[in-house]
Amino acid sequence: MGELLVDEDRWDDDRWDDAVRDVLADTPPMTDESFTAARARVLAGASRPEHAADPVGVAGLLSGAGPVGGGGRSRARRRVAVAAGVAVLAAGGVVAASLTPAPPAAGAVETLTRAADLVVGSADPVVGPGRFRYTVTRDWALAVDDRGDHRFRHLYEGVVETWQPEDPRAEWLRRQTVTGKRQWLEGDEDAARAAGVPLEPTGTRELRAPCGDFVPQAGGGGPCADLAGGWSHPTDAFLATLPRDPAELHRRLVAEAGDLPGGPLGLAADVLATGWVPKDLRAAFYQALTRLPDLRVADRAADLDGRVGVALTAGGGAQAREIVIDPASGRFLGERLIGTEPWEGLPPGTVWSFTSVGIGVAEASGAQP
Amino acid sequence: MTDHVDTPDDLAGLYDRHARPLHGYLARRVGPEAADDLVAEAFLVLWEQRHTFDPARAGARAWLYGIATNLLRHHARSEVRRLRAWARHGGPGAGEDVSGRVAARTDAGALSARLAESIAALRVEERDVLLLVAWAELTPAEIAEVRGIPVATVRTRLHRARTRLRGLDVVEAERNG
Repeated sequence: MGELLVDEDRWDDDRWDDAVRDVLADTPPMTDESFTAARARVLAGASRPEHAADPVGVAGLLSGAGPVGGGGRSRARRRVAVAAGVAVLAAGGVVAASLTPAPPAAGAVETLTRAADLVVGSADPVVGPGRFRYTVTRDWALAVDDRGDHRFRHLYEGVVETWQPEDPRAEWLRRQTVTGKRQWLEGDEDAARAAGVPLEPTGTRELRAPCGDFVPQAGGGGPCADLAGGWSHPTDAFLATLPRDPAELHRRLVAEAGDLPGGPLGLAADVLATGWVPKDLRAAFYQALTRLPDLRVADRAADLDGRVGVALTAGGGAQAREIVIDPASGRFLGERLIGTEPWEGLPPGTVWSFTSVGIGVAEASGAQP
Repeated sequence: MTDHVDTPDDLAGLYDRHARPLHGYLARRVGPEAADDLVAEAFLVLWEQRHTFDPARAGARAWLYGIATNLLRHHARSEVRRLRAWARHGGPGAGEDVSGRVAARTDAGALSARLAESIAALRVEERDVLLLVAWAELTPAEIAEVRGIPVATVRTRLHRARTRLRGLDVVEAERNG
């Protein structure tokens, strides 16, 4: 394991990974008995006649990513993993969100209360047999790469579209697109290519699977094993279990969030970001969030892809999570993550992550509404 | 080295190569006893779904770690408890140092302990990506394949995780400055 020296000015990613490698490195290794017992169990399972397998439909992918790695751990090229998105100014600069003192909290409470009222009076989309819930999530990702003295900072756009059948056990489709749109904040494309900076390959890939389980799922249940869902996997069944009483929902959010980054607001954002939260529950979420003591308006005109809404946040920390709501309709437009400290030459107030979500009803899988 | 999983012999070969390191990864995340079960379960899932994974997209090793990470979905709370307990007990090698680098070792132990606390505080999906890189040595591209998410999302999560850990850097600099 690498030496941990704590007095250097700065560590690069590899040094941090080394430090993480030391965490829990003293865990005892697998015993010979365990090795043998598990081996016997595996081979016994593999020798049994097959039950009708229910394959996860992950075939049919574009093979764009190619083989990876060749063994050793990624030397990470200092291509710092990167935030999903820095919002973009027309002039090509990094958007600095306002760090001016927040307006009175009452503004935030009023915004959410009104949004809840609007939502209650709206109608949820009706999908119907043979049609599909269509969800599109768009984000801008920031790539940071330093080559000697040359700094490269660019943004690239990614779009994820999902078609969910009325019966979730039927086949879902997910289409992931790297659009090739880039904005250079520092450096330019020619210089980056000359310096060997890896750029996101442009292309579209499709994944198909029942229940939206696009990767092999746990246990012998195969796909659809976790229809019940949870906060990190908010299925319809899970949403149905959540209280519609705002006080009770607030209590659940606070209890569940514990000291998770983003807190109760982040937890609510995870669920709202699915785009398909029924209106009674969406209204309850909005009302529950008004009970957060430090809820505040971060930006009255947060621009997500041209969709402008009110950004609300709560809690502290090195990053501020925000939800963005259309004050005219109560719709959840998306979310942002704002850096509250300097990082990689990007000033506090940089919008690190910006995601917008849209929904619709599609007539066919793969067809946009 | 073949990545085919066509026959029980192929599976046995994969098991012999990868079971111990996979157990190491799982044991660090949820403890050795739970890992005993999860190792077997991961290989069985790999076997059940052998027709659905594409060696051209990622090797069997990467698929195994992806499956194993899915199996951890219901263990998040015990993982957090484990990390915090380890942090409270002072991290690695507490009190054992006999070399001339006492201060550095002590600092290292303290830092590792605080890192463990920080890892415990990460969102589950960020912790998954961080530990798949640092403990399982998967690349972001491999993680994207086996988790079924865009590589940009993997990088985002890794970035957020590392940024949160970097918060410690500032703290350390202040303490040592």
